[in-house]
Amino acid sequence: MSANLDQLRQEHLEHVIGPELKTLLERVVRATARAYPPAEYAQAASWDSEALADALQDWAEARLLRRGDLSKLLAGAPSVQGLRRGLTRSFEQFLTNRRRRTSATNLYQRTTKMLRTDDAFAKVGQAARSHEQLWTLTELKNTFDGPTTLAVPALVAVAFELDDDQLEVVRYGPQSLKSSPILREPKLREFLVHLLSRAGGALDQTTIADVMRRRFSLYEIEVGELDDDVAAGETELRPVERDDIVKSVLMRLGRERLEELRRFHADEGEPTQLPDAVSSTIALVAEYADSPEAAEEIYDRLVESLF
Amino acid sequence: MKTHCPLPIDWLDFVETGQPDSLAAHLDDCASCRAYVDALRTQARGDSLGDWLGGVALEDAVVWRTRPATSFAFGSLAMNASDYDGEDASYHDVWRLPFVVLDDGREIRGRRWYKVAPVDTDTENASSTDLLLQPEESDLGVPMRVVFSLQTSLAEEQLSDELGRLTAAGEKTLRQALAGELDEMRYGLPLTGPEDDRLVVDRELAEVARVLRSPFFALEPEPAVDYTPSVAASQESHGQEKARIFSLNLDWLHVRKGQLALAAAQSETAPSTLRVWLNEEDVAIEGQLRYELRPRDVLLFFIDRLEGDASSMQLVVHTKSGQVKPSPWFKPQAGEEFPVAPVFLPDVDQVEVQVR
Repeated sequence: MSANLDQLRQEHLEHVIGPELKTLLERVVRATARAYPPAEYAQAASWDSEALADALQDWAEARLLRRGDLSKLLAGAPSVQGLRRGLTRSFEQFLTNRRRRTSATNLYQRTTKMLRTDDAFAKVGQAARSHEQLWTLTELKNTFDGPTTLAVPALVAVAFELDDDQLEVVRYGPQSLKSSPILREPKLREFLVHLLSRAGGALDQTTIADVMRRRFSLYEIEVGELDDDVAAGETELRPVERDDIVKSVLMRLGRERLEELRRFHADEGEPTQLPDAVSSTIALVAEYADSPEAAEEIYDRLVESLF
Repeated sequence: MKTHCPLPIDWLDFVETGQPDSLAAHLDDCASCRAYVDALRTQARGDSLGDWLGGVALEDAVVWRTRPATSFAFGSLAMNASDYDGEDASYHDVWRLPFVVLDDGREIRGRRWYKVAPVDTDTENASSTDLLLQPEESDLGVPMRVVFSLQTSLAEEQLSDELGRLTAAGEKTLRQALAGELDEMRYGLPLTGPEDDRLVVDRELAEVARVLRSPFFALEPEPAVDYTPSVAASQESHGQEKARIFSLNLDWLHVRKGQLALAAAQSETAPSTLRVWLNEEDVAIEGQLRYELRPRDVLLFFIDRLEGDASSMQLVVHTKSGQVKPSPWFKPQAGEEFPVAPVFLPDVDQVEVQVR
């Protein structure tokens, strides 16, 4: 690719994505995707051409074009190399967020399933679309025949009346493993019962999802996107071979952090402080591990590969 | 996360062309990049992405068309110039960020300065101090976040292009935000702790903002230190080095009155929140003063973001009856909450932050 920044900007104004930009975007995706295990990030066994093209198309539509990020990056970059860096960051964030939507979606799907199958909850009226269906507690069914009059901030305040300790919340973070459910089944039920008992009316699933998103800092999804057939089950994150995880973490850490990690484990003295590289590595490993034992094994394999 | 390694696309170029030679030396001592190159050599050779662009609706794309501008006003969306040369400071080839202009400008020493805050389209990264703007609130037609924590003042010459402007609805929302009249639904979600990925995203924005505000900080001296005898005495008694004291500017301190009333009516535990930003040359702190109504009646300070050199800080509550209630000195850490003082909220007259 030989186009300079001005030429790329002109091409964007004239064609949105012309031949030079098309090639550039393809190369960013082909190069960057390889550090992300395809089972987790592409729902595919490998980053084959089809998986790459799907990711590229989704990224281009959702971020670069629909919200104008390609324009923003072209207007803001000080050089072609700066643009390449900006596009790489954008694609990395796209992959990461797409994966986190899966975790949030799982919680919403479990919520929907619980509302429909647990006798403690009852429908109020009949909605044409599932996310518009109103719900209340069975014991309040004769009390409430319409939606709550409380606005979402008030409902969020109600949701916060049960704190994280009471609900045993597992937040997404460096210590939470891939399998962490945010809320386990009995606590999810306790939360829903509390919310519906204090809502002063029935709640639809969109509102419940909005309150949960703010209460538990979840990634935003369109509730209407959810499959009505909850019996189809939750979206599963596919298992990843541990060697692939080691390779992915290795690629994403970079030279400085790997060197820091190697020095830390080469030093036989008692450590006075845990270096950032160790916590960064643990955070990356935890994203893929299903159990503490698996996380430990992956971490050990990674460290072994450094010597 | 990778900082000094070439980009993946640089390695793809290297694998396919063998150029540039300079990358070969990096490979020798970087296991991370060797893994990349191995993966690209074995996997990328047969890539053929086909006509992926054929399925993309290019006609629906949002395309920014910037235009040169020399004057701005409240609600303008503008981009900074990448270069600036002045007697006070200079920089070159910095990223150009989109900003929303927060006032109509003011003259300082013969030059026009605007209060601005960066805006970005990545609303999924909004934290609880980022205002969320809806597509219909600007003529760009896309959702945006206003990063108040990085607001600063830029000289007219530092802004180069106009990108668009807020609509009347957007201007109204922005004015309400500046007056502290919006509830939390118009802001992003609170940070979950020091490892929150959103901190990393905003660090890149903050680096650019730090460069851009250098002319303004060169122009104005440090904020006047407003010692009160009781606080000074408190410092002496601790025998510690002199601290910088910032009186919280009420323009920057947004009281969510609605939520306070709501919390009192609806909940005995939901906190009320004051947004706080401190932006100084070498330290930036973004946090929330929360008031826990019951059971403790206590003021708390939660730190959302911390950048720069701040080894220790203290908050001092001044009550309307003249009492001074200092918190213990603590080491600020993003994602942590610190108790400030037990106090009855209506009694609070002023809160100061001391940093050293």
